[in-house]
Parts: sequence; C-alpha cells; structure tokens
Amino acid sequence: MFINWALGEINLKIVYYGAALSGKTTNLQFIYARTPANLRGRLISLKTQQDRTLLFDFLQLEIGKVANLKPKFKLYTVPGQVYYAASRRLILQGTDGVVFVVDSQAGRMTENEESWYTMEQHLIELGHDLQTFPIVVQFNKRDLPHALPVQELRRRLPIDGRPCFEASAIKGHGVFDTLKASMNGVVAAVRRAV
Amino acid sequence: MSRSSIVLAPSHLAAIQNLLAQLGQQAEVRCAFLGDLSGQELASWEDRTHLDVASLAALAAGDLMATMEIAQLLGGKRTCNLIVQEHDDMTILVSRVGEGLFVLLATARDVPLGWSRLAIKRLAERILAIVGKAAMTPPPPAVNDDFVHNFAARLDNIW
Ligand SMILES: Nc1nc2c(ncn2[C@@H]2O[C@H](COP(=O)(O)OP(=O)(O)OP(=O)(O)O)[C@@H](O)[C@H]2O)c(=O)[nH]1
Ligand SMILES: [Mg+2]
Repeated sequence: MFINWALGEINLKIVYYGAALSGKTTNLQFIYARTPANLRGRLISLKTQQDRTLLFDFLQLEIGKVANLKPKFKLYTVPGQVYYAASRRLILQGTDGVVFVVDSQAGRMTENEESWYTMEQHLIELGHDLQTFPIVVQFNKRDLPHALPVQELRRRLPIDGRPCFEASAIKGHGVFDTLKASMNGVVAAVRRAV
Repeated sequence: MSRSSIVLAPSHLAAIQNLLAQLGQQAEVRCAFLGDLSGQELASWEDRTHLDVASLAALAAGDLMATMEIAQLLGGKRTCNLIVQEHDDMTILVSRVGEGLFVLLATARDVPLGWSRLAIKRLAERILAIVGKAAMTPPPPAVNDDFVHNFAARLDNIW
C-alpha cells in the first residue's frame, strides 16, 4: 500500500495466485476487456511464446473518487509453472490481498494444493498473519465436464471462512464477483490497520 | 499492516518531487522516477507527458527484484545497488534507495555514464534522507467505515 496524501491517492496491490493454467491471466484479460477505458491502464503481459506467464501480468484499475480519496488497484498475476517459484515470491512482495485461482478439474487437485501451501509459505515469510490477510478463493473452470464438485474442492483446501466464488473466467462468469470481493476485503483490512 | 506499506507526508513528497525536477533540468534527462519494490510509483519527473508511470513502476520493480534474485542464485547477496541498461538511444540506470525503494534515471545516450552514475547516487542519498524521516510520520486516519461502505457501493456501480 502506498498513500499519496498530496493527491489523495490510496494505492493497493492484489495478486492473482494459483497453479499453472488455472486461469489467472484469463481473469485479468476479462477484467481489462470489460472495464471502461477511463478506469483502466494498459494490460502488460510478460509471457513466453506459448502465452504462459513468465514474470507477471499487470493491470491498474481506478475506481474514481470515494469519500475524497482516489483508490487505485494494481492487479498482478504470478506465473504458475513450478520452475518460476522465485518470480512468485517477488510478485507477492508488498501485496495487500490475494485472489487464489483454483483449477476445478479433477486431475489438477495436487497442483492446487501445492500452490496453496507455497503461497501460505511466502505470505508468512513476508510477515503476514494468515488469519487476517485477505485471501479470496475462485473455483475456476466450472464449465468443464470434469470439474470436481465444489464440496470436494472445499474439503481438499484449507479455505474455511474465506470468501469463495465459482467462475468460468473464459466466459467471464464470476470474474467480477471475485474481484469485487477481493477489493472490498483489502479495503476492510486497511480500515482495520489504520 | 504489512511491512512494506509506505506513507509519505505531502511535504516530503513535494521535496522529492523537487529533487527529481532539479535533476530533470540537467543534461538530457528523459525521466527520473521513484518507486518501491512492490511496484508502486511514488514520484516522477518526465520530459514528455503521458508516461505510463504505473506500468513503469511495475516493470522496473520486477526488473530490479529479478536482478537481485539472479545475484543470489549465483551465490551473492540480494544487494543490487545499481543496474545499468545501455540502449541504442538512451541509458537507463536503476538504483536502490535504502531497502525498499528505487530510483530510475533515463538519459540520452550521449550523456556520459559517469555523470549519470554520480547523479543517481546523489539522488538516492538525498531521497533516503527525506524518506528516512518520513517513515516516522504516523499516517492520519484515512479509511473510515463510511469509506468502506461508499467504496463497496461504487464497485457495484462500475461492474
Ligand atoms: N474451459 C475453460 N478454460 C479456461 C478457463 N479459464 C482459463 N481457461 C483456459 O486455460 C488456459 C490457461 O489459462 P491462463 O489464464 O493462461 O492460465 P494461467 O493461470 O495464467 O497460467 P500460467 O500463466 O502458466 O500460470 C487457457 O487456454 C485458457 O483459455 C475457464 O474458466 N474454462
Ligand atoms: Mg498466466
């Protein structure tokens, strides 16, 4: 978080985290496509030739003035592929909230679990209290025939008490519900902290 | 609150802005920029308007962090003090300021590298002197329940 009092700006950072191919970049692409141009910056994607995230995707959103303050959100995605662990840790630095994107497909559960626990590890290393840190969970790819029941996903991940949303990022379903919950969660956490 | 959050008093920010602008008047400086390692832009000076400072901050922070990580993997410490980028048409220097901040200085290619190195080193020291004090300033209350409520309503308006 960075507060610029002279300009009345509050800058907040949200990171989309999750296993490789879970749909993090797709979330940002949909948000970019459906946000009025005056409220968004450009979508920056540092990616491989195969369209896999290499370092991060980045998108800045503005919300306009709220109670005399201008909140600005910087959205990032991390690269999900296992060998980019170092990059993931870098991107999480200074983040105010996380959206954890779960790949609902039956065959991807081990990757989801691994990704969750390394995220917890990084957040702890960065000095965050997991109890209070705003993490929103998105069950993505609900449109696929081999999607596990939500109940099963909940059983496999330690997400009790966290806001959860079903989504199909490629169609845009649930993308903004997830984003809004994360933004509200981050703002509420800032409220508690000051 | 996470350790990385930073609050600068308006007077400190103005002082930093001044330093950047002063530097901008010299030689052929294209842009001088202060950001933090989480990718936030704090202050900037540019010779053209419409520089995309939000993207610049995200990319420069990612670049610096990646460079520090490379050094660590090679058996060094995560202490990158200066990155020098030589491009066909300009030189870009990125220097760390204290632990969590960085400055970026872009000059025309014909500005001597020695000058730029010295300039950015001095700039970093001066900013550190200001920010060091600023970190002691407690933030005034910003976000109240009203804000939280209005904010949520605003989001529902947009999407
Ligand atoms: N069927 C379906 N496919 C999806 C959905 N969301 C994303 N995809 C597809 O899944 C693939 C990977 O999506 P990305 O958004 O690139 O995944 P990522 O999480 O950014 O992957 P990395 O950058 O490698 O970590 C792409 O082919 C997307 O089109 C979804 O909701 N349903
Ligand atoms: Mg991606």
